[in-house]
Amino acid sequence: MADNTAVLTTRQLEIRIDNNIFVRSLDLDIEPGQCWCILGRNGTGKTTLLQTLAGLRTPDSGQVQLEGKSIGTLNRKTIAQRLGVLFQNQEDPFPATVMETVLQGRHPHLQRWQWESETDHAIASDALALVDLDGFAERDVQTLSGGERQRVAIASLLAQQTRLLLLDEPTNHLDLQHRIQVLQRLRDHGRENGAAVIMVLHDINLAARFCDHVILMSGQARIQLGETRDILMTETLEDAFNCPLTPVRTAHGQAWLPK
Amino acid sequence: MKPLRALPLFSILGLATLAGLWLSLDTGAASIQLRDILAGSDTLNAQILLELRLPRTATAFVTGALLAIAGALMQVLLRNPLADPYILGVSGGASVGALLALLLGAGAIILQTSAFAGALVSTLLVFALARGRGNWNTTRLLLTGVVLAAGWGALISLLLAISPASRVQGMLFWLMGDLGYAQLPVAGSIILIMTALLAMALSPSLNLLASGELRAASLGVEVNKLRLTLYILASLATATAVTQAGNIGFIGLIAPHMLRLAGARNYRLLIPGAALLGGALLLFADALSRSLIAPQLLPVGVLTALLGVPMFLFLLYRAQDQRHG
Repeated sequence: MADNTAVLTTRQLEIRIDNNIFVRSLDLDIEPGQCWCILGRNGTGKTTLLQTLAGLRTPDSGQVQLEGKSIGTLNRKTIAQRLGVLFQNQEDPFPATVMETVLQGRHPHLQRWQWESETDHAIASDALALVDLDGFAERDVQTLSGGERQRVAIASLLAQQTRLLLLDEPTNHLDLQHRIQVLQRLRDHGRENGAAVIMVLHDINLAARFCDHVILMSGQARIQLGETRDILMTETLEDAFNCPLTPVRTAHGQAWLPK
Repeated sequence: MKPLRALPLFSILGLATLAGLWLSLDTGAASIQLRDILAGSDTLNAQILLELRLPRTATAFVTGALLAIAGALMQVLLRNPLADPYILGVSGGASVGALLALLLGAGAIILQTSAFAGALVSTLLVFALARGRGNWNTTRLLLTGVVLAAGWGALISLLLAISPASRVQGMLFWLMGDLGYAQLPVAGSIILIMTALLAMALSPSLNLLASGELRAASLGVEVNKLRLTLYILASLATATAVTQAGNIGFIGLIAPHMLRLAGARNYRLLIPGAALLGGALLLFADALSRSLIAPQLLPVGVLTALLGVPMFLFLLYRAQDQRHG
């Protein structure tokens, strides 16, 4: 039985692509307010796992449950009201304003013929402010820089107001200042609203600083998961990333530099 | 753009449509004073107007509107502003279907069904071939469309070559796009209204599909169902346009593009706007084609191509510019 307090659970989850196995017998329990990080080398199946958790990919075996219900049995709109996804790349084949793009996050909450209300606009404006993009509402997304575009996508996800946020490399294209700021705000957003956050990150130091739980993928379905302080240890990381590391103590806790 | 802010744009589109209707009814060999007819004092010319010009005018509008909607739908399906039923060979597929039915001496319903089948086969072929694994790619898409269009063109030539000489003249118009054989578009109007209403109902999902299939799915869109509906709607609109007026190009490219420039990016505005603008554009083009070298008539497809080709090249050039810039 699924834990009633968990937002997302998996039971005996298995993911393979062709003959490669990425995930085997994975049992996850993601609770409100938690901030999870998926770490691992390239090609270990991080994105595939994230998309499976989002219900965008059918597991090869086992189950993903959203608030206790098997995600495969829910319709897309019901899922989208509870779970939002940030993708690695944003596509803009047609011109659109920043506001129009952020308002897309309100879609799961609207009826078919309904236009976005003043409330929806206010929610979108707040989300833009949260990623430091006040005053960008009328800009065309095709004219934005990579980092600005990424923050628009994050604002759109925040405007969706879901209890679960799944993010594939949210720090993509972001400068140093905004990397820290965005992760901080995502973590705080989760804690304040009782939402769970799961994100794929490449920076072990950012993961150590902002996430309380880690899923470490070392390839061939070797997965370790648990609290950050139990998983992020020098030897484990060296093994998972196949790279010798020097541990460094900082004011924000443990960090590592590649040797 | 919010609905109220679109009011000026739609007023202009409405006026342009009315002007196009008037101009189209007013243009022709006989000089007819529309005023006299409205006053009821000219019954002979009223008959010319009702039986000759009205069908042509109505067909021009309905055809233009259908092509514009088909273009807008294909653009969102392919996430590419260069998509157009003519460029991608979908019109060609519909033409082959229609010609085959004609050659076998089939009736109107079979003709329409056969054109629809041709359009649908063509649409599915473009999507299956241009898509491959992973992302869309403009070059691949356009090449697929161009090659398919060439293939359909060859099949059309073949059908013309084996047809009895008496029928060839009438069949030729499928190659060029011509409104000279137009009849009152009753079925076409019904299909136009159905297509437009359905497309408008789907508009919120269309907006999301434009930013990627996975993103649309993550925001609550049942993507596979939507895609299938769009294949069918776009093919039906194209096939209906083709059975009415032959192979007319570029309306589906020009109308949505002009609306996006005018700020109507939301599909809830883009669909009805494109329908009006596409209809108006074809009305003007047709009136022009009848008066440019009067008393000789130009096929209207020639004019839309003359208008559409430069715009297509400009869009293609700009798209490349953006990628490298």
